Amino acid sequence: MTRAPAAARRAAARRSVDLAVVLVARDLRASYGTAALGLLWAPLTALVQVGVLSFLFLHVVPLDIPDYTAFVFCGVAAWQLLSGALVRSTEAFTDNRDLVRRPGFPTVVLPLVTVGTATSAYLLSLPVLLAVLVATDRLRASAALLPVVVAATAAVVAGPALVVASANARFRDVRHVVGAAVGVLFYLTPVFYDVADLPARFRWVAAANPLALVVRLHRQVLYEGRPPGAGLLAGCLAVGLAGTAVGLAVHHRAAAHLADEL
Amino acid sequence: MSPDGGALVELHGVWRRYRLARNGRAATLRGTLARGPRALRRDWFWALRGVDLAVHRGQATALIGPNGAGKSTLLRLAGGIGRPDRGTVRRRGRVGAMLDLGRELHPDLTGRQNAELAAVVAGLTRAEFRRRFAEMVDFAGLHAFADQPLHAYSDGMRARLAFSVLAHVAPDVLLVDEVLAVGDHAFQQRCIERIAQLRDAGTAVLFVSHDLQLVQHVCERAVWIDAGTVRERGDAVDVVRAYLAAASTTPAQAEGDPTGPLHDVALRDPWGSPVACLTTGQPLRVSWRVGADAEGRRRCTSVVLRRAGQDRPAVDTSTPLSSEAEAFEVAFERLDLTPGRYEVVVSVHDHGWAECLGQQRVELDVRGQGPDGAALAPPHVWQRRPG
Repeated sequence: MTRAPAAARRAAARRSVDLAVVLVARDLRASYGTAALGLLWAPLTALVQVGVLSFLFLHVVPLDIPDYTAFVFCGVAAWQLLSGALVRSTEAFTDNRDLVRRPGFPTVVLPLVTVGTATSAYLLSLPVLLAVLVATDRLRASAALLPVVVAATAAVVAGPALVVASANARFRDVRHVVGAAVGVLFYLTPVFYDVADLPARFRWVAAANPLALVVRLHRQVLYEGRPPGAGLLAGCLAVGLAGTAVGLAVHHRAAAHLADEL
Repeated sequence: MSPDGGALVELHGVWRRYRLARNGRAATLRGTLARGPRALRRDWFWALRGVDLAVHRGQATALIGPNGAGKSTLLRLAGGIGRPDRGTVRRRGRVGAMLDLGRELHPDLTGRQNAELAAVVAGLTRAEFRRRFAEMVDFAGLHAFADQPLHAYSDGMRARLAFSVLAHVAPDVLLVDEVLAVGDHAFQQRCIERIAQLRDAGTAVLFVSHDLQLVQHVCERAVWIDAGTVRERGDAVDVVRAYLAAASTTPAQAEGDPTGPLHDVALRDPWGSPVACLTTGQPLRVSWRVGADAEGRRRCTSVVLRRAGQDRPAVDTSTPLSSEAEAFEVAFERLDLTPGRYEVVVSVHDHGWAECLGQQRVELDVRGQGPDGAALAPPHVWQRRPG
C-alpha cells in the first residue's frame, strides 16, 4: 500500500472526528432523551449518590473530612466517569452489531465513543459540582487544569474499555463480570473516603489501583485547589499508554472475527 | 468498461473459517472456564477455500450459488468486514454497503439524525452530509418526516431512507446483498435504476442475489461460488446458464416415467432457486404436480428422502389426494442430515398403497461437517462431569 496523500489523510482524520461526534451525540440522545430536561439526568444521578454518601458519612459514620459534600462530589463525579465508561464499553460491540458489519467501519472507535459519552455525562454534571465548590469556597485557579485531568482519566480508561468490549463480543457474560468488578472497585477506590485515612498496611490497595490515581487527581485540582501532582500525572500517563497499547492489540486480534461473533 | 489500470477490490487466495457455535448460542466465559482445557479445542468450518476475485471500476459482478456457498462471507471480506485467515484483500476507495437496509437506524432519533449517522458511517463528513441532505430526502420522498423520530416510520420508509443515504454517498465500491427483499415494487425498481446509475458513473458493484433474472439485468459478469470455491466465472448470462443447468432437476427426468401422473418435481431453496446441494441444517422445498387420474381413483402422494443406496428412508411424509389434478409443496424447515449423497423420491400410490402409480427421483448432495456413518446431525450440546 502506498502512503495516502496529505489531503486524503486529512479527510480521513476529519471523518473520524465526525464519526466520533455523531456517535457520542447518538449515545447521549439515546440514554438521556432528546429533550433538554433529559440532559439533567446526568447531574441528577450524581447528586443522588452525593446526597446519600453525604448523609452516611456526615451524620451516620462521621469521617471528619472538611466540606465533605464537596470532597465526595469530586470523587463521585470522577467515579461515574470511570465506571460509566467501563460498564458501557462492555456492550460497545454487542449493541452495535449493525455498525460493526458496515464495510470500512473503524470498530476501534466504538469503545472509545463510550469513553466520550461518559466524559460528556461528566461535563454535564460539572456545573453542579462547580456550584458546590463555590458554595464551600474551595474553587481555586487550579480548576482551570481540569481538562488535563479529564484527559488523563479518559486515557486511563480507554485501554480497559477496548479490552472488555472485545472480550464481551467473544464471551457474552463478560459484562456481568465487569459489573460485579466495578461494584467491588467502588469500595476499593477512595471515592467516599480519603487515602490518608487508610491504615498503612492497606495503602497498597489504593496504590495498586489506577482508578485511585484518577480520583486523587480530580480531588487535588478541584477540592484541594492545587495543581495536579506530577507523580500522579506521570502514573496516569504510564497506565494510559500501557493500557491503550494492550487494548489496541486485543482489539486488533478480535477484529478479524468480530462481525461473526455478533 | 475496461479496467483502469487496476482493480478497486482484489482478493487473492482468500481462505476464511468460522468458529462453530457449540450449542447455537454465544459462548460464555463461565462455560469456557468450566470446560477447562478442552474448551481450547475449537471446531472450525471453512467457508471460503482459496478464492480469487477482482472488481473493476464501472463493472457490476454478481456472486451466485446455493445457500451456504460462501457468497456473503466473500462480500463481507471484500468490504473489509473482518480479515481473511489466509490470503490477501486489497481495496481502494470508499466502500458502500446495502446489507440489511435500515437495520442500523436508531428508533429514537429523527430521520435527519439517523441520516447523518448513516452518512458519516458510510464515509461522508458532516459538512458533506449537510450539503446533500435535501437531495437524500427528495429521493426518499420523506419531506414531511425528516424531523420525525424513526419509530413513526414504516419499514418501507426506513428502507427508503437508508437506501437514499447510501445512494448519495457515491461509493467507489458498492456491495449489495439481497437488498431488494424490502420495500414495494416501485421502490425496488428505483433501487435497481440507481444501482445501475452508480455503476455507469464508475462505481464497482458486487451483487449477491438469488434472483437470477435480476442478476443478469444488473450485472455483466458473474462468479459462481460453490462450497467455498469458485466453480465458474465470466459473462453473467453464461455463468447463470451453467449454474441453472447444474442445479436443475435433470436427474429426475433420468429416473422417472414422463408419461406417469407426476410432473415438475423440483428441489428449491426458500427463495425459489433450484438446488441440487445443501449444507446440513438448511431448509429445503420439494414441489411437484400430480395429474388427474383417468380411472377416478383416490390416491396418496409422498416424499421420501433417503441416503443413496439405502432402503430405509431418513424422512417419509405423505398425504391423501383425490383423482383431481393438484400441485404440492413440502417445506422442510431444516434438514439435519449428515453429509453425503441422498435421493428425494416423490411418488403417487393408490389409496390403499397397493400400487405405485408413478415415481420420480432427484439426487440431493448434502454437505457439511459430521460423521458419514450416522443418519442425523442435529444441533446438540455435550455435558459431562465426574461420576
